[in-house]
Amino acid sequence: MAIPDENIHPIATGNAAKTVAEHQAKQDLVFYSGWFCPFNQRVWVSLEEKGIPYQYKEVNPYKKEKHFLDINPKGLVPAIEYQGRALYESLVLCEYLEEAYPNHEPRLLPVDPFERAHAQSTEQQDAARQELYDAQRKLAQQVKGPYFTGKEFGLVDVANAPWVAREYILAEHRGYDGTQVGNGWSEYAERLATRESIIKTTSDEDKLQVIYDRYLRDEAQSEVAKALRAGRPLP
Amino acid sequence: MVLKLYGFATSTCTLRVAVVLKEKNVQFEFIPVDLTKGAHKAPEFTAYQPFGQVPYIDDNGLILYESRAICRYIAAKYASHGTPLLPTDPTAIALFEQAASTETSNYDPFVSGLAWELKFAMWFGGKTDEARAKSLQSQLSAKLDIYDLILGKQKYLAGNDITLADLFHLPYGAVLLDIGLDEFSSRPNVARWWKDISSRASWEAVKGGI
Repeated sequence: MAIPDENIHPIATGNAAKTVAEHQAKQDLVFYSGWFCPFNQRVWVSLEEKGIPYQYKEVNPYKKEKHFLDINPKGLVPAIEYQGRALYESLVLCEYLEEAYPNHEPRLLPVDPFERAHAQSTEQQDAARQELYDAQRKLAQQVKGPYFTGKEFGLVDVANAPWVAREYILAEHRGYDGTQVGNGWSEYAERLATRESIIKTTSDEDKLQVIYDRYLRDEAQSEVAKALRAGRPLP
Repeated sequence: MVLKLYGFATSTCTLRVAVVLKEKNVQFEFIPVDLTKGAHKAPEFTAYQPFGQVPYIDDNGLILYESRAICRYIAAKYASHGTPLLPTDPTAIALFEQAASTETSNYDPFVSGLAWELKFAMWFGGKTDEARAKSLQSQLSAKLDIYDLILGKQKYLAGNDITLADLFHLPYGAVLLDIGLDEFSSRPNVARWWKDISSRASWEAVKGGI
C-alpha cells in the first residue's frame, strides 16, 4: 500500500518557489532540499542570509534519486554536495557554511571561541506545551535583542526560526498561545518570522498544512515521526 | 569561434538543444539568461529573439531560435558527427517529419501546459489552475495510449532508428516525472522507449542543468 506521506506536494510554492527559480544554475555547491522540512529550512535560511551561490535540488523523501543516495546513503535532507561529496545534519551544515564561506556576511556564529561554543550548545528541541513555554521563556531570557546574541542575526536564531514560522499550526491545533510565554518572546518570534530569509524559504500554508495534518493526527511516517513516537533521538 | 547557446540552466527548450549538441559532440559555450530577472524580455535579448523566449544560438553570426529548428540545423550541419539524428532519404525524412509533428501536436501542448500549471507558474508568482491541469492530464493520457500502439510496432517514433523526434520528448517528460506525474510506466511500450531515450549519456549529461 502506498505510504500516504508519499503524496506530498512535490515542489516548493509561494515565495519559496521563486527562490527555487533563482537557484537553478549549476554551482559548486548543490543543496538537496525538502521544501517543507523545518530542519531543512535552517540550512536554506543560512544559504540565503549569506548569499552563498547554490544549485537547488528538490528531494522527494519517498522517491530518492540514485545519484543522491550514492553520495548520501542515509538519504536525509537537508544535505549538501560539494565536489562530489555529501554532508548532512542541519546544524553541521550551518556550521560548515560558516567555515567554508568566511567572507559571506552575516557571520552566524561568533568569532570568539568561547562565545562560539556557547552559541553551539544552546539549542531548543520540541516539547510539550508547558515545556515549550518554559523553553521559550528561557530562550527569550537569553535573547540580548534584537537577536539572540544581540545586534547580529546568528545561528541560534537560524536554528529556531523554522519552528517559530510553524507556531501558527500549534496555535490553531494545540492551543499554543504565544502570549503566555512572556519575557519578550512574542517580539523575538515576530522578528524571526519577518526575517527576509525566512519569508523567501517558506511555501504556501495550504501545502504545508497537508504535511502537518499528518503530524497532528500522529499518522506521519517520516523518520522524524517514527523517532518521536518511539522516544528515540531524532535522525 | 565556438557556438554560443543562450538559455536558462534548466529550461526545457534550452535542454532540448543541449541534448542534441551533446549527442552530436558539438562544443558550445553556454551563456545564461536570467529569466527570474526578466532578462529574456530586455532589448538586448529581444534584438535577437523577438518573442523573448529561450533559447537561441549564435553560430558564428548565424542567429537561430526555436529549439526544434536549432536541433535540425545542428543535426544537418554535423550529420557525420556523433549519432545520426536526421535522415536524408525522402521517405525516411517524411516519416521523421510525421514523428516530429506528432511531438508538436500530440504531446507538447499537454506536457508543456502541465509543466506550467504544476511547476513553472509558481516560479513567476502564479498559482496552479487545478481544473486545467486535470483536463490536460486526461488528454495526455489518451494521446500516450496511441503512442503505446505506435511504439508496439517499432522501436522509435520514426521507425527503428532514433531521430530528433524521440529526443524532443525528453525535457518535458523529465519535468513531469520530477513532479510525480508518471504517465509512462503504465504503458509498456512507452515505458521501454522512455527508458531507452532517457538513459542516453547525452541526456544524463544535461538533465540536471547546464
